[in-house]
Amino acid sequence: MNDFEDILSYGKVRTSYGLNGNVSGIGAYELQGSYVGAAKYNGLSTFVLGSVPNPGLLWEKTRTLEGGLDLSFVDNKYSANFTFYDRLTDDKFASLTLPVSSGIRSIRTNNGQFRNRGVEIELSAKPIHTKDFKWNIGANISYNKNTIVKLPENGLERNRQGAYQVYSGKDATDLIWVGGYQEGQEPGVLYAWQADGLYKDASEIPTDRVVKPISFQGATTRTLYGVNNWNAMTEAEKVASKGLPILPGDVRWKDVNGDNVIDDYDLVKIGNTTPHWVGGFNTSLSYKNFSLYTALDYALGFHVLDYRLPWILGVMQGSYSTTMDVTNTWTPENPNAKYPTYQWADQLGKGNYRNSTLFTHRGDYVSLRQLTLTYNMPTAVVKALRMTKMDVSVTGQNLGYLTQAKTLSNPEAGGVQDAGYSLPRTVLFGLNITF
Amino acid sequence: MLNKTIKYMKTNIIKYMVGIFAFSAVVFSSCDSLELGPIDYYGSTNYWKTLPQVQTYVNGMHLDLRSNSFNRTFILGEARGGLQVTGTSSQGVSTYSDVIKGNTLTGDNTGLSGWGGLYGNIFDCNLLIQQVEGKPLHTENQKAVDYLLAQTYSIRALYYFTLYRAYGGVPIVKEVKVLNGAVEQSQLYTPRSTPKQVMDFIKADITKAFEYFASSGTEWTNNVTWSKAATQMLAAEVYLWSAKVSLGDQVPAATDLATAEGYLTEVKNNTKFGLLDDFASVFATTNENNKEIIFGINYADGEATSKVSNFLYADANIVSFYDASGVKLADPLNLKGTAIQRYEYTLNFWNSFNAKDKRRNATFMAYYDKDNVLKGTVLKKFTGSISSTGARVYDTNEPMYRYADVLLMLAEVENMKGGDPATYINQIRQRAYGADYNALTDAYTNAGFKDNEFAILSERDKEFVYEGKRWYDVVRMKDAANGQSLAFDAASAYGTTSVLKATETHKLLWPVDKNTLNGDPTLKQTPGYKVADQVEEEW
Repeated sequence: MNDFEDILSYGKVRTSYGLNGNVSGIGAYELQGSYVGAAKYNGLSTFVLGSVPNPGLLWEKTRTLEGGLDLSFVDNKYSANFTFYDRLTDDKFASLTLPVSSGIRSIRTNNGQFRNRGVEIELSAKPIHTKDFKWNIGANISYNKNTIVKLPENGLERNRQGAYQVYSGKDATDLIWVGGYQEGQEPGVLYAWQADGLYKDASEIPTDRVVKPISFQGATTRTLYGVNNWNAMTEAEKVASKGLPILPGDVRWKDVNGDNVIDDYDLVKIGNTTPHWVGGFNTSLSYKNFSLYTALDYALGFHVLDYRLPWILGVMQGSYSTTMDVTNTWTPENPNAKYPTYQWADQLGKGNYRNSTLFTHRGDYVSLRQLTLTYNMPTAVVKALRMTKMDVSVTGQNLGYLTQAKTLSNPEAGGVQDAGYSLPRTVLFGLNITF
Repeated sequence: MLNKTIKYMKTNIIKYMVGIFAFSAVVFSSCDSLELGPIDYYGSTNYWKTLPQVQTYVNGMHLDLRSNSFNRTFILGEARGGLQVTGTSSQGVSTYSDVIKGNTLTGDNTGLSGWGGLYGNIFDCNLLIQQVEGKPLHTENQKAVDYLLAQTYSIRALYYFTLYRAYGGVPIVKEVKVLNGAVEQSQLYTPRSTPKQVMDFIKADITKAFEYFASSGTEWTNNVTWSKAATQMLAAEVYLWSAKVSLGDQVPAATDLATAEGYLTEVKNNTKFGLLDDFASVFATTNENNKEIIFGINYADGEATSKVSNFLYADANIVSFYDASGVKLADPLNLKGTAIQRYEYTLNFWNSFNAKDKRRNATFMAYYDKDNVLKGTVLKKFTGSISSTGARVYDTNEPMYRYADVLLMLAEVENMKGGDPATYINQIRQRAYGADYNALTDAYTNAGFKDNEFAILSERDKEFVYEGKRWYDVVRMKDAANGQSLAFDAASAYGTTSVLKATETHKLLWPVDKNTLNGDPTLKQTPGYKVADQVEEEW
């Protein structure tokens, strides 16, 4: 061993195995259900079922297997930790949607088996460690993936729950089940219509194309017709159809199954909504009395849909101030705009501002989480002031992101994101005195 | 049920909690306490133990009738009848429920989802029946519980009848399987029954309800609590529908019409009920306990108010209009800024009223532009009252069954029998025209099946605005004794186009939404509405 002492200064192999039961989040009387008083009827007291009795609910059980390796090299100058974990949750609590005819929307059940598997790596180094100049670096990264291993038998393919259909693109009618929970798949996948740009002028409008109505934002859009489809109708039929012609400035939706009809099934996979990779990076540099600390963190490999911007640009509720993106909407003078025509109540009209790739982004971000500059007063000064230590510092937090998802106030969460408040950018001035 | 839970938990603990002693000790002791019911709280262990609990639960079912009233009566029973403005209202407000009102329903755009939400209410009926019928509580309080069960079976029949008229064959669910521990989807799958099976189930529930009314010795509480007369009205509607509307294996039975007539005659001969002299007074909030309302939904300040505020105006919108005498309008109905116009009846319908007909101005307020051109109307029939604190409260009770309906259904029965419905029609018309009624010029005279049917429909339309009858009427009423529905006849919509096109016979029913179909693989789509790879029922 002594032969390696100069190189390997510390080494440890870890492993652990655990079984846990979990009933957290289960209300005291959840198994018994509840009957609760409701509003009066004709002056009389009423009782209604508050929550459904759930006598068959079992514990949730988690089995965790973990293995790791902790190493340090060259006098602990460099160190590395590696961890692999595999967590298998049985009888996982989940709110299960029941058939509507049961009269109950959903109930908490023990819903199959979920796997949570990943790797965590942590590295740190002290490359420079002299009297005046010190430099520490740390970095960590972890990879995690969730998989649905098993779901209760329900007679459906992959025992799927809450999935929906989209065209596979193989032929004009082939449909596949996506989303929801399906055995062997990762939960949380995002599908949306694909916008292949806008129709810049009349010459680009397809001759044969029908965009069917969709329901979103609590309303239903009109049917949109291509040139020939529209011209084939008499004026009376046009009125009766309650449809609209496709015009320049409308979105060119991808026709996944190639039938010249755009409907609810012409969705494309955007990607998963939970980051696969998360991690951070920090460094501290100090030279004589000055030190500078920097912390970054990041998440990679997930997608996000901006829910609010299309609502704003689609003018979906009354009048309000809009965002500057309105200058990037199509007009005859601005045919190369990114966004479709700006029109009142898009959700009742053309549906150009539906959930589409115009508003999806890779969520990957790097955040400049913290930056701190500190100055330690020289010992002579401190002593003269009858102190033992004194330093002044300035810290900036949440200073900015490097991300594609620029229209979101907070890019850190995946999936469908509404507007919200961004994390506050703060600057702190510190004076630290020890007597 | 609870013992089973504890057994589960214990097996579980033994199996999985090995080595976590301290924790499991806590759990074991808490299991013992689970055997007790909570004392400050009602759960499955201590509800359904006393008569007042059952009574308040039936009160809760009336509360449900009130909460689902707009959907159940207006959306399901009236909106599709072709008398609604779609797109933009005359006041320039974008209207609601256009897909439904314009009958542009498809398998992708189903208007309603989840069977209109009615299975949640059916669940309540099933729960009560399952927990109470034949249990010691029932035998110990036979008569009182019989009355409550009579109401419960009637209300369940109402929900299934509502579903039947919307969807035809629907899943028949008559017990609460989740209470027996069934929480897996596959245990709860229920395919649609055939139309006849559903109709027979409804009739069986009605029969059961009448048996319970008889054994309870109670028939009536008041006109906002379900009564035997309400069940008689429901039964009359069910049998009249059964006598006139065929669907798949459900064809009229020879006795249906006579059965309907029997129930209507019983209500007609009940001295508790009759026509009021003045149409408007039927809906006066100061006169809610009147003899014309057989059963209605109660609204009250502090309890709940109706959705009628969506049929009126916002102050900012109404100020652009004038009354008939050219006076600029400013909150003419004293609504105090509580309303907006999301629903509006067509001008064609308003124009179809005879000028002598008092119902027009009791039902609508019309408004004009400054050149006295008629622009639009709002529904003023159910505007409620001003509360003690000076607020506008939409608390007019919504009648579900009233005496005018008895007469007009009898007219329909008479027409089906080949008789003369004029007496019934004229009773309604005379009341509607009041002092202006002139039998020589205004009375209806028997004129053959189709004209009679139109005359009855026209009277019903004017009588029952916002009372949830119109769509059912144009579906049920026909151009010949064995002819087709008036929904396909332009004259029934007071305009140039019919409610449904000749090619749209499938639209007599509603489509089922994708999520509901996907949630139960045994379900099939309503015939004619198939999209993508859906499978349709073949009735």
